Amino acid sequence: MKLPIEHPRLAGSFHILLWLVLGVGLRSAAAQDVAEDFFETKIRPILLTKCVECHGPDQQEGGLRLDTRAHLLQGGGSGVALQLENAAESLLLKAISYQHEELQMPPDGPLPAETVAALQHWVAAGAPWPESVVIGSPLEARLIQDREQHWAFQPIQRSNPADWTAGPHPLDQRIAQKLRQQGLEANPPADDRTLVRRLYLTLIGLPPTPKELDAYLADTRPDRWSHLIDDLLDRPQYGERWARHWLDVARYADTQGYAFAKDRSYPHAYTYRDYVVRAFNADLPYDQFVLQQLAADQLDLGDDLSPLAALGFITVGRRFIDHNDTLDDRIDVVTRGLLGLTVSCARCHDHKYDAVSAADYYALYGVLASSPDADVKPPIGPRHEVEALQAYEVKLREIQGRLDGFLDAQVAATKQHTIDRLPDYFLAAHQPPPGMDLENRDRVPLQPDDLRPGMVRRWKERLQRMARPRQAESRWFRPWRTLMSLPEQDYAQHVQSQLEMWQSLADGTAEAAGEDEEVGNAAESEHDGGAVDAAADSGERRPRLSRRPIDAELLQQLQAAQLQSKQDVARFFADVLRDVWKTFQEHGANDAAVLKVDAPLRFAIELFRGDSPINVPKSQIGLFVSDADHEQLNALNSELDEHKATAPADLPRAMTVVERQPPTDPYVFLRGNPNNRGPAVPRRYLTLLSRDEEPAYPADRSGRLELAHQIVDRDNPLTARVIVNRVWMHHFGRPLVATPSDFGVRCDQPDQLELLDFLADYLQHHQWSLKALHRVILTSHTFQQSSQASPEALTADPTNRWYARMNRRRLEWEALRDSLLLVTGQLDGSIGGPAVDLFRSQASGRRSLYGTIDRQDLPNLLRSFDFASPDTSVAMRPQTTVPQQSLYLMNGPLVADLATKLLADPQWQGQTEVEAQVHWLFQRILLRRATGAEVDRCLQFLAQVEVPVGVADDPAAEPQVSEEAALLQRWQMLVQALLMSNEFSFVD
Amino acid sequence: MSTRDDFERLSGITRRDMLRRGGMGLGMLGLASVVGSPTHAQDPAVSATSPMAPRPSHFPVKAKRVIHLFMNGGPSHVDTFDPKPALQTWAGKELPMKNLATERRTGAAFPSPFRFEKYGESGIEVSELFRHTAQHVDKMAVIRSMHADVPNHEPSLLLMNCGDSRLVRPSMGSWLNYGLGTENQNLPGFVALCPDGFPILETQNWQSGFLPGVYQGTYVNTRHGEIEKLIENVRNSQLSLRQQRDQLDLLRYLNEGHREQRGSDDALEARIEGFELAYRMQTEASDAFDIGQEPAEVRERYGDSVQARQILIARRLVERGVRFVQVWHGAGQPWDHHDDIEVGHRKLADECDRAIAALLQDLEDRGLLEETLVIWGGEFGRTPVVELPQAGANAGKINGRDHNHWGFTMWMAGGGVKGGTVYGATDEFGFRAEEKPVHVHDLHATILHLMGFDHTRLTYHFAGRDFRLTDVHGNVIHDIIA
Repeated sequence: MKLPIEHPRLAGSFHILLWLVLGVGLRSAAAQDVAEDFFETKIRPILLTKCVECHGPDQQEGGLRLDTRAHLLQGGGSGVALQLENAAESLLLKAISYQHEELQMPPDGPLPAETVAALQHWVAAGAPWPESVVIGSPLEARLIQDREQHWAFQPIQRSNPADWTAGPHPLDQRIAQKLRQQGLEANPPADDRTLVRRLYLTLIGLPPTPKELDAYLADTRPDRWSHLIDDLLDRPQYGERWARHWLDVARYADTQGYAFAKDRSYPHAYTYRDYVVRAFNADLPYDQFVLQQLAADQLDLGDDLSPLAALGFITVGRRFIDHNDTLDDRIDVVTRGLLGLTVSCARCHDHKYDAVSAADYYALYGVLASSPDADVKPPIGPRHEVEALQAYEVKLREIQGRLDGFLDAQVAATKQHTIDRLPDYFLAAHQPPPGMDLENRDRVPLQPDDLRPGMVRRWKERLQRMARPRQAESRWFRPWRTLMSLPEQDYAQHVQSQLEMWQSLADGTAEAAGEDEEVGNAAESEHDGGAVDAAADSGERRPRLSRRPIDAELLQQLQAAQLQSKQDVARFFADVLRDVWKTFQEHGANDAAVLKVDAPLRFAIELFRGDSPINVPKSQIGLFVSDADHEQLNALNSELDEHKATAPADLPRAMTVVERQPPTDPYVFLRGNPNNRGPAVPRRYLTLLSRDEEPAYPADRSGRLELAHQIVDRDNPLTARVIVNRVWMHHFGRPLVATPSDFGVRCDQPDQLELLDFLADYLQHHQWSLKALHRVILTSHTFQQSSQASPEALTADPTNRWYARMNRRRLEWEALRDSLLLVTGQLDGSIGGPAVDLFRSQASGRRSLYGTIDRQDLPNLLRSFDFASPDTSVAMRPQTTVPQQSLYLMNGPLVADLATKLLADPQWQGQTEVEAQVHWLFQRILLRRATGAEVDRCLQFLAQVEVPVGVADDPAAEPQVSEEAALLQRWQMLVQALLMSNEFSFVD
Repeated sequence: MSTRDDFERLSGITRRDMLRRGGMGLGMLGLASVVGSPTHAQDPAVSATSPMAPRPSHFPVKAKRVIHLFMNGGPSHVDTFDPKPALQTWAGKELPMKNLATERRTGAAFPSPFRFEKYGESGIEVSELFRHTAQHVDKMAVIRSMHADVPNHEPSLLLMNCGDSRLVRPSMGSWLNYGLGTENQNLPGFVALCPDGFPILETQNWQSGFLPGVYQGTYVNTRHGEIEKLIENVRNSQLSLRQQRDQLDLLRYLNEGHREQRGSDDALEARIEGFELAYRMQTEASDAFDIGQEPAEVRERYGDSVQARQILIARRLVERGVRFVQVWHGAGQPWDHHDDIEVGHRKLADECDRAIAALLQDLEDRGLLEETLVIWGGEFGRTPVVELPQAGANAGKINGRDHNHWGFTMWMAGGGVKGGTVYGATDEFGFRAEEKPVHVHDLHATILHLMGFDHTRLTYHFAGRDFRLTDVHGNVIHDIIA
């Protein structure tokens, strides 16, 4: 398929060329190329967009198909469509030029004259149609049409850098042009205090201190504004502020989402967050930023391996039970986040609006499916430290592997030994052999063939448990206990008596003991029968027989077993269990095999594979192995300890991805269903953005690096536009393109396209420096103008579409909380590191950026303050006003505590006059003195100390507090009011 | 059709634009008014200052509010609302049909240990477990042919709540608040009640997904009796209401002065009003959750379990105009009786049966039932056959039932539902929904219909697509609508 991106003007020149070539009837190869190009650029789009919907594979109106040359030549119900020898008489041409009496196509109106002319010349030239070309789906039609027509897919309009520095500010020029067209005029600049506060908050997310404000006001340099911009861009708080904007797009969180009974945290996610902070602070060029986030593992990182953390962009999203959903999230963050294209819409079928096919989706699916998460999160930092740590860990894993292997083998050997000697263990569990001390839990010397005292003890406990009446196994093991409890002397005879008793019970000729008798008496339940009847002590010692019936089948087997001794009984019961295990193994040891075992005996399966005496935990196996094996075990443990003693310092780790070998070659999943495979697709870039015949990605690599390079290609019309739009949005509170993560065809051309293109061009021209982009925006008059709007201005441009004023903005959650901490002197300025709990533990003074984000249980507080949901890439936060926000500020611990802490400031306490105290607070919080009226109102408020403080409304419960304490609380309430004020929460 | 993400377009549009767009554009009216659009419309229709402001639905209906009694874990339908005498015949034997695949291995037919009786004029049979609730069976439409997609808790909870078993999607309560706003601005519009912690999947069950966070359910741990613990920050521990009034008056003074200098600005006004709303909410919310205000007779009728308390709270919330109240039986998955179903189901039903009956009675007595849709059910039902022992899965007692998504029962009452109706049926044994099967999507479509929405038109544009609760599925069950 040949689908070049064509500039309209270029296509026009082909048109002229075709006239020349066809006009003289050349049939050279060159002419053929021209003819094919003409078909591709002119004819194919017409057929696609105007004809094949009704005359194609899906519908054949009038029996006519126009999707292949053969069909075209064949004609339809009204006859032959083309007359190549006498072009003008062709039915097709008559129909499309509306010259035919009945047939007038397309039915909704004639084509433009130019289009008709193109078709006429094409037919006259013999309708050249490259062999094997089939005009495809409506999607293909959209592809061509959108690439030609949709604004966002057109090349960025370049301007002359020389013009940027000459004359008025290049950004203001473009704004002014639109303002003139609208008959509007830009606002005058805002006052200095407003401007400084605005700049601080937009760049570092914190207001200036009164001292910083004064320093600026005292600065007499004509370029003090640029100096301030540079100063703020150089502060580490800049990276913290802007990292958070990017983390909205990257759907950052510190947990993976729901995980049943598993640790859901991403302990290393913070290294991605810190990477983003560093990238902004270092002004990492945006193209590099993108490359590292998609393919840092494939770049030459030199001596610093920290950028590996960038791959968190792919991996910090939600984990779904179905891995395909996780991959979908990754496709989404890459395409919406970087390109402003909603590619994940094409998961189940071709995109409904954009020219993105399901094949495109699965081409990228292949890329990401070939890039699984690294099993071992690599350490990051200076290369030599990383390499030392990795070498240490390789060795560590090697030793650990040998140790584990040895332990596994010993566990298996112990299991086999126990099965082989099960009758001995059963017997020993009843009566330990001489010299075996079951109370001793230390290791004793062991030869390979010795019975393990630990194993005897495990069986003893288990056999007792299995004989308890409420256990399913007790059907078998109560009789075991009964038989093993019979006196040694004349054992065979006693067994015979007991069997006869059971037989009588079965026959109904003897009366069974009641359940109460059996269960109610602890001694009885531990010793069913068997106890020597003391009352009959006078003559021969007869055991008391158990009068509890047993399973008929078991009785039969016991009767047949000829039990002469306790050894025989032990062998009998051990064999029953071993037979079950054998049967189960022989039938494949799976669920079906369970059914091959008699139902009452199925419990025995779990005795071999589950929680059973024979399965000794690895941690305890040392007590069960022979002396020789124990020596080997000790040697391995020593080796491990010695190696651990050499451990280098630990390093942070990155949530990287690795290359799957070989890479996954994807298929389309029809309707998104992995069980419904469609055609295979190569891993490759989006067709929409591909150049002619762009190759598929290499067979031996995922293609992530190639994809990353294509995304940051200078000629990609989307990437630069998408990022400058995001930056603009954060400076002005509104984007230029209304849907910052969707530049597809449903996104209208922005009012300020020229401005958008200027910014995109400017960014690329300045080596993708975001700091350069900030500077050009922030030095403009447009940014510095006042936000005051007269009623006339509001009427003329209610939404400020044309930027004749600055937008007033409300601080988002992070900036609000951080500002509260700053003005009350409680901000902890430390940078980076693992996430901290901002809410549950001791009040933290860390910036909000560092708060733990648990995507599974995001605090309601964050939700109610419009925090970006970490579930999917967020282009833009909503701004809602709900009472929960006010409740938090009024009643939550944060603001009240901060107000109290501010009043501990010695400077405030040093003010002697009450008016001065009020002014100090206004200066500190609002960066201005209080007005006279405000001072009066505050004094009035402070004078209202009538209700003793710190009590509920119930007067009876009022404790008395001193006037002084009550006044201090009034002050605290006053500070809280200032901190809650609109003036503090909004940026003019 | 809008060409932008509803979410994203908020900042670039005036309320007037929004009104002109009509349809669900109206849904975003409140948001638009506080997203920095400095219009100061005089039109009373646009005086709403909150994304929660009440809004009309697509078409007029009586149902205004929902109480969803969520029996999480999966109550057994053959032991509650779907009698299957055939199980008695086959008791202890393999069913003549192949057991359908569920989460775990199952065995022989397991007849219900509970007695069923006919109730009401409709004579619908209900088991003794819900004998009090059954007194109101003539108010209910019992759907005996529910089915879902898979026999596992997590996906089935997501499906039941959010209409998709895997992906991040808004919950039904969020959709309804987005569509309708809420009638009492002093209370959250969507409240999830659950004692002692979260159900499985936790807050995902009441997530707002890509809808604004304001539409997410507010979780309330009903184990607590004290109001401070029920709603975050609803009370100030330092200041009396009178002191706080003084403080807010000072704040208001500062804010008014600030606003006067800046001219009209909706965002500034909305935030000023936000504090007043919050102030009122302190009292209103305390009232709503304080069941101590109910007469002793009422509290007695509900019983004194934590279930009774939270069901009574649910009634008090809907009385005050809360749009959607979801009442979870308990943390984790209490109804999940793989073992000891007889003991377990009896215990849980005892905890809530009387309270549910009292709720239906109260709603009727107060004339609220017509306006309130009560929904009862779990995320799926349970197998009519016994679950077989399996290590790590159950205690091997062979007296419980496995999950069953093939067929189960839910009932709805009030809110325009046709009472005394049985809709659909499972097979002879209660394994699979056979007659007039109702998928969860169909249930959602029906609920939205009862609330006045065409489920295909309650949409939200996000990430390039129009999303809806029912995705591309769902048929309204008209037969159960009065």
